[in-house]
Amino acid sequence: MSTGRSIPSELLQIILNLLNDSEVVRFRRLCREANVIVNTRASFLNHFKATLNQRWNAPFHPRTETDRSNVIRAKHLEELGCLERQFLKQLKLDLPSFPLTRASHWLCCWSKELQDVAAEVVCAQHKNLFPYASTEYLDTFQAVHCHMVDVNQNQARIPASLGSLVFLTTVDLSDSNLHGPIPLEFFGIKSLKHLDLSGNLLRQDFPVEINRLANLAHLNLSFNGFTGPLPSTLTEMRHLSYINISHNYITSMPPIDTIKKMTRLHHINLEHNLIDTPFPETLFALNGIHHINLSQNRITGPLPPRLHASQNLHTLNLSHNRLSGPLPLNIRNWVKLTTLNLASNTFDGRIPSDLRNLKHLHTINLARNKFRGPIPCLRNAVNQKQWQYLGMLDVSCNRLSGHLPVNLSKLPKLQTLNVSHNEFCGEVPKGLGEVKGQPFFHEFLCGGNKGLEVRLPKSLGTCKHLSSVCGLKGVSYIMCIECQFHGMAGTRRSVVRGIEEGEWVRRNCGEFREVVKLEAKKIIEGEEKLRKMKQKIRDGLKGKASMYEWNKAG
Amino acid sequence: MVKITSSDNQEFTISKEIANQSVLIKNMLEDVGESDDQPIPLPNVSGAILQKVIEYATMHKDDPPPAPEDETKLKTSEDIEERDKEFMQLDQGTMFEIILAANYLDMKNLLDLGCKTVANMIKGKSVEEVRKLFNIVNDFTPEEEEQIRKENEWCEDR
Repeated sequence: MSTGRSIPSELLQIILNLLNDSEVVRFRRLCREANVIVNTRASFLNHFKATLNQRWNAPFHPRTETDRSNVIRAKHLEELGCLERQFLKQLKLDLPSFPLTRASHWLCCWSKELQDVAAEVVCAQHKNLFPYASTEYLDTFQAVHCHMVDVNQNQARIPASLGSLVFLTTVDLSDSNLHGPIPLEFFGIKSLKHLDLSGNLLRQDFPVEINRLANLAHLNLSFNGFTGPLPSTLTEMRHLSYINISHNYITSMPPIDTIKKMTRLHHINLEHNLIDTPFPETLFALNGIHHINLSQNRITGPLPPRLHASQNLHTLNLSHNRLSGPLPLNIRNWVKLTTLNLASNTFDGRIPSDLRNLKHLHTINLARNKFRGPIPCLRNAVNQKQWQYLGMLDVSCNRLSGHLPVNLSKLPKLQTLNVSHNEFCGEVPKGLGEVKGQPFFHEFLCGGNKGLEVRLPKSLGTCKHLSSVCGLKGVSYIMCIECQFHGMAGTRRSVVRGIEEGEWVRRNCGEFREVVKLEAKKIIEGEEKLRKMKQKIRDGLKGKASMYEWNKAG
Repeated sequence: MVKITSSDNQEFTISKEIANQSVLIKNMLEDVGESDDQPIPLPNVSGAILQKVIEYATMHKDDPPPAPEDETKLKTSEDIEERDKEFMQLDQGTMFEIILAANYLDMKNLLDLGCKTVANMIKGKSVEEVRKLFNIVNDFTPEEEEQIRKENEWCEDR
């Protein structure tokens, strides 16, 4: 059949130019000359682009093995000649017109030149991405961010092949419905700095191999099913600064001496686990530590009388544990503390007066303990303003006694004050909840104090943001509520809770223009009392109030 | 009338309007002048092929002059006249020779026809088949060929 004569290039060119794009691509392989002819053909570029466009816009399902291998082939575009580079550059310009989540995914596979485009975001919010993550083609990835939102995808697992992505620095597979253990290969990603696997269904003993991720700085494994103790290998990770393993089934901290090695640690959150070890004193001594949250565990025992704690500590949450005994004596060293939450333990003793001197505090929660004695007196001298940033003070359900400090009413930021269920006596300070004459409180609860005489200032009643007032009785009620409703007419916001007696209602409801919501709190005991009260209110409001809603809470 | 001789020394006498369809012959005639009676030698074309070429030229001697080329018009191999299709019902060797002759003689219409026919022919053929057909030597290194193969897999029709 052959003529024995080879075809001159000009003829080859004419012939190839007569073919359509999808045909001509194939004949690049004829010989070098053909490759040049095809590559210099203008429409060839368009063909590439059209093909890619089509693939990007097509549903992203790995239906067949062929489709999957097509994705893997994408990586070879990285090795293309200059023509294709031009094409990719063009593509970069066009990028906004592509669905970025997909595009960036592809682009990362292709070209280092385009990594700056797609360096941060790789991947689609698509349930079927994971089969693709065979990662053969992903070996230049620096980051994997993927959230699979489809809960119907069963038994997805972290692909072992991720372990071969030696350049990865970030892996974020949070909230992706991932099952099973972390594959061992995964711990081979030496370059990894940021790991977020939170919100999955990973069930396994906490991996001892974690320290193979030697460069890891940020570790978030929260909301999973990790069990068992935290291994000492965790403390060998010298770069680790952020640990969040909250909401798992961890049973103990690493050995207490090894914690000292975590010199970079900044933030640790082990909330809601099953840790039943004694108080991990060494954790507090880490110089860089800012944030400690060990709440909702079973940590036992007293705090040491002299707790050597870092001066950088900002946030301390030990609530809902089984801690006991008095607070440490040297609490004044925690100079940067802003949040102190020790609620729901069995601490006892007095509230240390040094607590007043922690001037950055904005939240103090000592509720549900066994503290005795008074709230420390506050000085309000010009140079010695204490608790100037305090927004929330909750000392409810203790055994505190004495008068409420007069200067409580001078705290400029205080919005929530709960002194209920103690043994306070005397009067509520004048001007409470008022800043420079302007009402400010959101919440004030003072019920359950038998000795406390509550004569609230009128200002409290006009607090616009007041959402609950609790524990008032008798005359002071009437005053308070009267003021309250004068203030809130038209605001439709306030909720009055903790009504013990209904007498005031009958006398004062004539003043109500709008009662948005009256909420009876648990304090009202017995259905009978409740029914009577409802009736009284109905009678009182008849014909006057435009609307009201009885909401029986609790 | 014009005389031409093939590579195997067959002589053909053709009318001038047929001869003028070949830009090569037309230019030669202009160069040598009309008085010259010597046959024009065409050493690249055999008698059998020249016979076919003349047949084509005769068939098209009454065609209107070609419209000026429209660059924007997409080239396609589909628009072949019926009589041309019949004319090209040849074995591949002859067809190939005709294309080469048309190229040599600078006969645009015939060249186009030949190329279109070949293009239609190679559609769907494998690269190997086309290499064999055109006697193309694969001058890629194995590595180069493998790379192109990989690149192509991405967008080749399967």
